Amino acid sequence: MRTRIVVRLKAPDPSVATVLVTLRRIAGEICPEQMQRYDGWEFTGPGRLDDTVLKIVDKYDDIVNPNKETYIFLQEHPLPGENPELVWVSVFISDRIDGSAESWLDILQCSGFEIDNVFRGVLWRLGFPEGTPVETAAKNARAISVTTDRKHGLLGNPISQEISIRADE
Amino acid sequence: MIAVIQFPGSNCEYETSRVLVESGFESKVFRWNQHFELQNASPDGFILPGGFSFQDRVRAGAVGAKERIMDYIFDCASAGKPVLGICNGAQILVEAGLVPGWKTGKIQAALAANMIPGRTGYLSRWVFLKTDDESRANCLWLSKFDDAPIPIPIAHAEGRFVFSSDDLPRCEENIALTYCDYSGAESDEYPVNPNGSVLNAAGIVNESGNVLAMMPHPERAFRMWHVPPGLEGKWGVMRREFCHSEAIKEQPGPGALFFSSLSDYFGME
Repeated sequence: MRTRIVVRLKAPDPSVATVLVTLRRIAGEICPEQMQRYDGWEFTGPGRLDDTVLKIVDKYDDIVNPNKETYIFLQEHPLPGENPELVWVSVFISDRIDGSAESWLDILQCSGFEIDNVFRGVLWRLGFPEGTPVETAAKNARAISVTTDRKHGLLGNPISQEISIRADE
Repeated sequence: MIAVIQFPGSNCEYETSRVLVESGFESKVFRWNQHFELQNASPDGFILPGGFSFQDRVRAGAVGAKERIMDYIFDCASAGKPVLGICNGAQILVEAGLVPGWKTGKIQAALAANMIPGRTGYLSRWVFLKTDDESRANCLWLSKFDDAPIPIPIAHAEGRFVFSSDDLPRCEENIALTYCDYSGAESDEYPVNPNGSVLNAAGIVNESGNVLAMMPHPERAFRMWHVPPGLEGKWGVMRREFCHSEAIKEQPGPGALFFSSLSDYFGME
């Protein structure tokens, strides 16, 4: 089974502010109206993992620091706080080779958790203006996400990262 | 005059500027939003120093590479002016497509998270570097080097050079600095290669040889007294000889070779 959680700051995320300012300057015509950023974690293992993941989150504040972060199990969109009027696109970015995920798998297995794999990345949620066709939103999300040259793309470097883009149905 | 560019989060700009002055250059620190002042000053070269520009938000160097000041530096680099990126500066040059620069401006490399068995994140330690004849002939920042490896500090979390598999055959020509041990022997294993960088790359240069992106910090090895006395190899021996001598204050360290190479390029020596 697979269980995914997404973690975000309780306070406004400064990375989002920086990205929006940069995108408005270099790609103003396709810039999303709203953005959210989450750390994404995926755990796989035997059986239902929700209780296991709750214990992991409770034990390791490197994953969720309760003083400044909050998390939810990722099941359906839109996510809390998102304006449902906007057209939302998920962009998930992960390193092709992720030593930290391997380290986390070692730590969790050594601690007795029945986990087969850990997968990490960053989930960006891009909210495009109401009425934007879903295809256009997905196309703009790709243009913003995949860094091709110094003027185009920002969120992921395709040389070292996997970039997965999916518009909400 | 050599311009040192200070992005929000840079933390090595003043020591970098100081070593330039001590190497005989006029140097001035420009903030990232002083693009008009930078253009008016028309510097002869540029150094992008180490640090954490924009708090490494999104990806180290990604936001800095999109700043307006990089348009002017991009034009000057394309015109052949010397540009050196140190650590976070190297990450900005990679994200700006200035290196490897097979197609200038296109992103053809990445500086990914360190890959070290059994640990992750930030790593700070002394390593050894070497160059080869071709790199010394091609790259203006390396003309004063010889075959001997030099010790130099690194301090980064995202320093692993990565290329697409299609580009691996040609990237070797752009690797100007490689990690090695004190004797010059290369290994792709930690700690000789401290971050898992492809082909042990520590620095890559563009085709014209004027833009060098390197993860180690030459400004932190500028003086002999910067070098830890316990290091193996030629520089360790020299350092120990100066242990109880006042003369150590005036002795250049291995990092000074980058700046004396620049002096050489401008015909100052």
